[in-house]
Amino acid sequence: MTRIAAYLGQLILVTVALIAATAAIGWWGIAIAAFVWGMWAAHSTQQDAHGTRAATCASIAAALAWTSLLLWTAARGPLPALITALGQIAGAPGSVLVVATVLFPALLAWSAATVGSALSAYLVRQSLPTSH
Amino acid sequence: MIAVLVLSACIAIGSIRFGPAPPLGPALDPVHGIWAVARSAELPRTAAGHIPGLSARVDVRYDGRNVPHIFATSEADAYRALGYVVARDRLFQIEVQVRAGAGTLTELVGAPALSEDRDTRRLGMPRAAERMLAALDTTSADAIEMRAYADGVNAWIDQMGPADLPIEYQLLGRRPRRWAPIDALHLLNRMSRTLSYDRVESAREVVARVVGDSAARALLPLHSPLQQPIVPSASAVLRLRTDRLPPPGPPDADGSTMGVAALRDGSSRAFGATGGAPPDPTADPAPDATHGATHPGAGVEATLGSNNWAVSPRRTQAGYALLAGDPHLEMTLPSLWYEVHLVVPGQLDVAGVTIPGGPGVILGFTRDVAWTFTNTGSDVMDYYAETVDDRRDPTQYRLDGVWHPLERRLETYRGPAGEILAREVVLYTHRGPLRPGGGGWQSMRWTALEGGGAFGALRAAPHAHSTAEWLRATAGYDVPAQNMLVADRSGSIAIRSTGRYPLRPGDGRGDVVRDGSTSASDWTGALSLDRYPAAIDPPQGYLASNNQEPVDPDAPSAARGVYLGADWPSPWRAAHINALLRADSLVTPDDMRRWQTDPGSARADYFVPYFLNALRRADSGGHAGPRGRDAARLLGEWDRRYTRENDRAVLFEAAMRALRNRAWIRLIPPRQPHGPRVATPSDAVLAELLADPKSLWWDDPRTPAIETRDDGLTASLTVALDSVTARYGPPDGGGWEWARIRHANFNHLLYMRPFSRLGLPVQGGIETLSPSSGGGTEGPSWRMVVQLGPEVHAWATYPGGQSGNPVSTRYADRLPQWLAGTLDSVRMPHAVSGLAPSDIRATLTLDPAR
Repeated sequence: MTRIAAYLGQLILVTVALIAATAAIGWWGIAIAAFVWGMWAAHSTQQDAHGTRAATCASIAAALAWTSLLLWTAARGPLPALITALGQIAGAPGSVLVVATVLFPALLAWSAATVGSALSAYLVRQSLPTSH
Repeated sequence: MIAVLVLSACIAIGSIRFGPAPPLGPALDPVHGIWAVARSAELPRTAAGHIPGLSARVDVRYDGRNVPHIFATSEADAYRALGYVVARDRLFQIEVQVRAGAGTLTELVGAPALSEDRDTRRLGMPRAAERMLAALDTTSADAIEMRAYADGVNAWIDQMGPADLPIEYQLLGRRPRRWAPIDALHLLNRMSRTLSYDRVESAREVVARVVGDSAARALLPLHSPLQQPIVPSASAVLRLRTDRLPPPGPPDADGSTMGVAALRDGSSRAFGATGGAPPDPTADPAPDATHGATHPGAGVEATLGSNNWAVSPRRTQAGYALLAGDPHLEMTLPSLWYEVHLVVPGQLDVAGVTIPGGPGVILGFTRDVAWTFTNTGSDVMDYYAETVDDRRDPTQYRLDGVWHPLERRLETYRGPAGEILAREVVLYTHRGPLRPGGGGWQSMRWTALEGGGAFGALRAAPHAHSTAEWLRATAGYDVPAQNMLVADRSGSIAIRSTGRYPLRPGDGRGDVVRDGSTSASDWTGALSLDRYPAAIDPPQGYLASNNQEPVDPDAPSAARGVYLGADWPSPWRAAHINALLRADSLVTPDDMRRWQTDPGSARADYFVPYFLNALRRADSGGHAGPRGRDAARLLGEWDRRYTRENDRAVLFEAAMRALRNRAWIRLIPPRQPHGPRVATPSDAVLAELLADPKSLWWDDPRTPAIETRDDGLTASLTVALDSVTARYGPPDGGGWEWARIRHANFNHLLYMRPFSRLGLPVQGGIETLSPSSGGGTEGPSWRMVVQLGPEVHAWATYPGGQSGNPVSTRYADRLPQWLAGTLDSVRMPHAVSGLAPSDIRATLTLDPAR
């Protein structure tokens, strides 16, 4: 139970961080923040070598972050009309664009966090004295 | 490894443009990307901004119609605020319009706009704007106003948030460019091109090569065969000047095809070909020389026109002067116009419409005067056949026996990333740009390239308190020439066709290509103001203009004998509104509003009896046939009104097309029997031809028989019935209903379908007061009625809405009203407190930059 709560807390914190990163520097914010998160998580929590847990967390958080931002936009303007119009321009259902808006940051964050974790693990290994 | 690949793919997809789609990363970003557009769809209840150079706070109140009322303490501040609020609502539009005038659309949309940009630059428009700006006194009010407006636009660009970036920029993956004072001049040039670009010389030359010079002069005549002039004349009704067209002359064997090539050489207009099978006799042929891009729907009357009329107090119910105006221009979304009210206490209090990107109210009213324009359509562009030193690559031209160097201007066309798409040198003589044409090289002189008086006039106009003052204030207006109608609170009404009319040597005509090798061909000056076509408080008690020939050439007037132009639009709308005005001596504002969309047609009133009488005669002679009798019966059932529900106008229009195709068949070059006509004379010329039943024009050269007018009318109506039935079904099956056939189409600036409004049924047809023809993309772009009593009252609308954001409720909210022909009451508060709180939709406070 405690571990679940901790994980949820972690997820919320990463989501908020990703929202802030998006607001500050746009879509690159997702990649940079997730990468940093992956490095930090690997370094501080001694996760599995591939940083799976950190990457999953980043991925879900990124999807939640952009979903939250979409909901915030929907509360402030005619988002459904815009989705429909953009879908017509793209020649696809508008929902495809919405799905892309959720999937894109999720993939970006997952991959960036994974790479961050791996890099962190690599750096840790490099810094350890070689044993014979 | 997978993660690295996925990350690389995401970054690539996120940052690289694939085809026309913007990079996915910034586009999908919900804070800064396309989705953010939804957040800026509506105006916030309150907002604040800063503008550098502002001398004091400016208060802006948006009323219930989303019209900003700008309250400033100086005119320069008012124009700064105007730039700000227009940019806030129409930023993408103003960039497109200005780039169209500057020939730099490629920098926004890429190579697809290259051809358009080339045309613009080859006409010398950007060079002209640069020269106008250089000639402008930097301390003049015009210069101050242009700078102030640019300051306002730039202030908005600097301060706007990510959600405020218009969706078009998002989709194109571009950022707005900063504004410069010259942009206002580019915009003016763009309007001049729309309203004063004409090539009557080339058209006549081409027609002459096919049917001889005498016929060409009659088919594209100096004076309209049908007269209902702007300046009232002795004849109140439509008057046919002559009743005989010269017969077609022998075709020039060499020129009949060369003529087409000559037109293609120098013209920017669409010029299609219809090879292959013989055409449908009721179908419009491809665009021709006289009715090309600016006259959509080949073979029909021009739709880029306008109406205005004013009534003296003695003919109005309330005893106050009334004025109405509706300029017919391209109907786009967002609209060409933006409605605004500017108040500077003691100096300026003007409401009306501005062209986004241009400082000032163009059409509108103050508490004392109201004004509106129609296009004069005068010939202000001439061509000169030049003698050059090298036909392939000229460097000099000969003038009065001396070789002069050609000015060379390198034009570089760049793409959105600054890459060079093309380069070319545009040559200039002292007259203007030099281009291939007429089998050699022709230079062009055009008043639009020498303008500069329009801004001062339009800026001064709202300061007038009477028609006399207003006419004085606008005396320096030069281009594009406009039929300026004005009314004032004292009851005076006046109209003047104002513009710079060049004076030519010799016979003074501008519809011929002149010899460029002598300076004796050059313009000798400009028509003096006292000879402009004008009328003030005429005895008839009303004035109207509808793009027709301004003065009756047979009536005494100051402008008599002056060449103003040729091949004038037929005066059908003028005849109809004049008839309505004559018949009503107690005119109300609602009458004025109703007339703006009146479905009656002077054109149908003129031609329908000819068809019916021809069929009656044919029937009595026993050769009408059952289809002919059916067609006559069906046409006879029509009340000649283009209402949405009428189901006979379609037959009449098909018959008219067939009649034109028969009458002007000799204008198809003999060597291209299935090609387009080289020109389509106006329906006024067709009316002239109808007066001569045995004219050789009625004879179809493809048959051995000699056909007459009645043969042409009978056959046209009969074939029209067959054609319409084949296309739309039986006459009373519902398929002929006008609402199913004629539509207004409002295209988005980038032709994005979801942002366009297409296929909207309209009341009106070809040459009705609210015209609908061609592609349905031109029409009344602004409708206004003003009553000038002790308090000014105005009603207006335009097709579209104040916002340029396609998902805003303010984007197309006025369309239903426009379609219904109704108008909104326009608010004109004296002060900030003049609007009731319930009528304030949003407020904006603009302060000097910190």
